[in-house]
Amino acid sequence: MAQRFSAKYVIIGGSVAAVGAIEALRAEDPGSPLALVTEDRVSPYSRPLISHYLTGERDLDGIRYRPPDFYSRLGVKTFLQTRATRIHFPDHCVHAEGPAGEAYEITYEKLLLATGSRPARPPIQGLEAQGVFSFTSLEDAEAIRAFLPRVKAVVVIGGGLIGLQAAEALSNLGRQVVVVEFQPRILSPVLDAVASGYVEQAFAAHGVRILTSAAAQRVLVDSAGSVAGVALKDGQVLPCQMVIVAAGVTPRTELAGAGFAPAPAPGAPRAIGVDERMQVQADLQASGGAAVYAAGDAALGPDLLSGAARPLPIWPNAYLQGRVAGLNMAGRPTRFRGGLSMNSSHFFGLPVVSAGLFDVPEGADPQEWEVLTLSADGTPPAAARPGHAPRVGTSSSFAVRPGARPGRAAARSGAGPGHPQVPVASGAGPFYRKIILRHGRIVGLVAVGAGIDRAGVLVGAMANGVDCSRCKEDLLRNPGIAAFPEQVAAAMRTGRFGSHWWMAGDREER
Amino acid sequence: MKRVYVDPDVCMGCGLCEVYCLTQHSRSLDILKAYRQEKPRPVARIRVERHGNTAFGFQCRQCSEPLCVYACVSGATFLDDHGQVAFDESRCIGCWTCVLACPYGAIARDDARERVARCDLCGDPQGDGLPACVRNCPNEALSVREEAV
Ligand SMILES: Cc1cc2nc3c(=O)[nH]c(=O)nc-3n(C[C@H](O)[C@H](O)[C@H](O)COP(=O)(O)OP(=O)(O)OC[C@H]3O[C@@H](n4cnc5c(N)ncnc54)[C@H](O)[C@@H]3O)c2cc1C
Repeated sequence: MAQRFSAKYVIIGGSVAAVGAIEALRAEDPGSPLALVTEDRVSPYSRPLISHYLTGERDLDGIRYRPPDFYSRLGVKTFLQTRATRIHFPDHCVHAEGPAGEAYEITYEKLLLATGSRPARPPIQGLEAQGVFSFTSLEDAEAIRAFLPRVKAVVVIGGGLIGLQAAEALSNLGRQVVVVEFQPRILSPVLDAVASGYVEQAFAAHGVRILTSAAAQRVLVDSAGSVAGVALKDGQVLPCQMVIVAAGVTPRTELAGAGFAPAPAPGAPRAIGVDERMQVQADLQASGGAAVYAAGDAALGPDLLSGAARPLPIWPNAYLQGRVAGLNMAGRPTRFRGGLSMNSSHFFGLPVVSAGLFDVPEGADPQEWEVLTLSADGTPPAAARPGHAPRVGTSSSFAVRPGARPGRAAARSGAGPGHPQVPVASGAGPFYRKIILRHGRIVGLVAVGAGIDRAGVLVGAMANGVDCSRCKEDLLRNPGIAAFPEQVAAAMRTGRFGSHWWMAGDREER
Repeated sequence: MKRVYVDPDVCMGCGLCEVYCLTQHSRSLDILKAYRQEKPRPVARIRVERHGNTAFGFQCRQCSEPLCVYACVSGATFLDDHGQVAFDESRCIGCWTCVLACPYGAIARDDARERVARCDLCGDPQGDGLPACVRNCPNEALSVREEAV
């Protein structure tokens, strides 16, 4: 017999999208019953910090996203280590299974699917061998740590954010690491060629090999069933005792069921389609009700710049979507205007960021687009191979005079189209800042090293659609709100303009 | 929300607010030692923005929808029980996501300590003690006010 519970609000998932929703719900509605089902065994922790847990720099308390009593303080009835197995939408009922096989049936008035994503499984043979791991959870980090004593060499499949975080951590733990990346460069979905070249240099400087345009085909397994190496498509064999599979993530949509139409973006992975209130579209259509919401990696929401549905599997986006879902669930109508691709990472101490676009799209009208770059000096970095130079439309470049301090020096005009000024690592470390404008508005940003300072000013201008045609060069050289036209700067000084571009309340709109 | 306001007509861009902020956030609390001896050097949380003939000291706006809090991956930046943006620097890993999120450019990087440096209203958001920048501005260009946004 299943144990029955009922709560006004039920959330499935216990990570950042759930936290965003809970904090919004509790601000609006401190008292109503709220229940949460999660496979996790602990209160919310930070996935981006599991590499710090793997290296031992941080213990579990050190990677908690919220204090350990987060759920109880906010009056959330939790079902930990419990998996939601099925949702019966007409009855508003979640079926779940606890750690000892207990069956639960939890009914809701409002339900949030914050089920996130799971590691994708690429078509590679031998992934069931002992020593193959993914790297997305606390449990993954623990399993890797337990296996490490017998490991000298590791192959990381995938040169994205997650793969590179794993590679850095394992290298810091003294292991020989090779990263195998299918694309011609690492971090290709978020960085331009210059910035990814810098990251490649940072890894090379720490003895990590990065193989680009390389395809892992098969995990070699020894007679005991353990990993012995990875065979690449070109015949190369990389001997290793551990493989980390980091070939992207897939939204966890299984609970949404067949009735939930995937969002209509071509080529996008199947995720749960939501409207601007984070309500699941299919649920709305089917029942006319407003009972089911989705947020975070599992949901497919709008992109602020293009307006199109687009997966943005990043931490800030999950929080914002969770927050909007929570506000709506609690009865405060709020629109999600869109998320922004926004990535900040650092590898071996080198910061790299990007937001919006990182290159001008192919076939773009050069009349409309402009790329400005600022660099420590004018020569290309060794790792930025000429064939992968950033594409530019109409381009004017600015380079700080050699030896001058970035941000203080006067700029001079540089190369024309097709010859972007790209920087080289100098004594003070790499410096790179690039902005992409369309019709005078910032639509893209990439920065490396101290170039990331006050990058948010550029992102804010992008998100708020500020016309930067008159201040773009000042913004590039010295990002700061003083560079904006005085009306904009004055509005920013009051704090009334800037940080809520992603949402709109119904009251505000009227 | 309580925050520091600047009157740009009065600010002369002397930069003393930066100096006093840095000192207030140093170990020695001594203006000379903080700047000349402390390694790594403390980082100011206020910055004088300069452009053409204008200058104004500028720091955290205490946003009502604080993107830095929502974007923070570690939980180091959070809302305290009074709804004020708070920062537990021991939890910060220096991922710089908030630097990318803050539309005001008001979050500085303390590179040496691998964490951000951000205005904490000198640790007294609820009390009436004045932040060091406000207290020491020679031109009284800075003031603290509570205003709903
Ligand atoms: C190693 C790593 C590093 C990262 N670094 C960064 C970074 O630096 N910056 C950044 O912006 N993003 C980063 N990301 C991405 C970021 O972590 C995700 O975008 C974010 O975690 C998504 O949050 P979410 O709440 O949507 O889902 P998730 O964090 O995926 O959590 C999903 C939750 O749902 C639960 N769940 C799922 N299905 C069920 C079910 N059927 N029953 C019960 N519970 C269920 C899970 O147990 C979990 O609690 C990183 C990700 C990883 C893995």
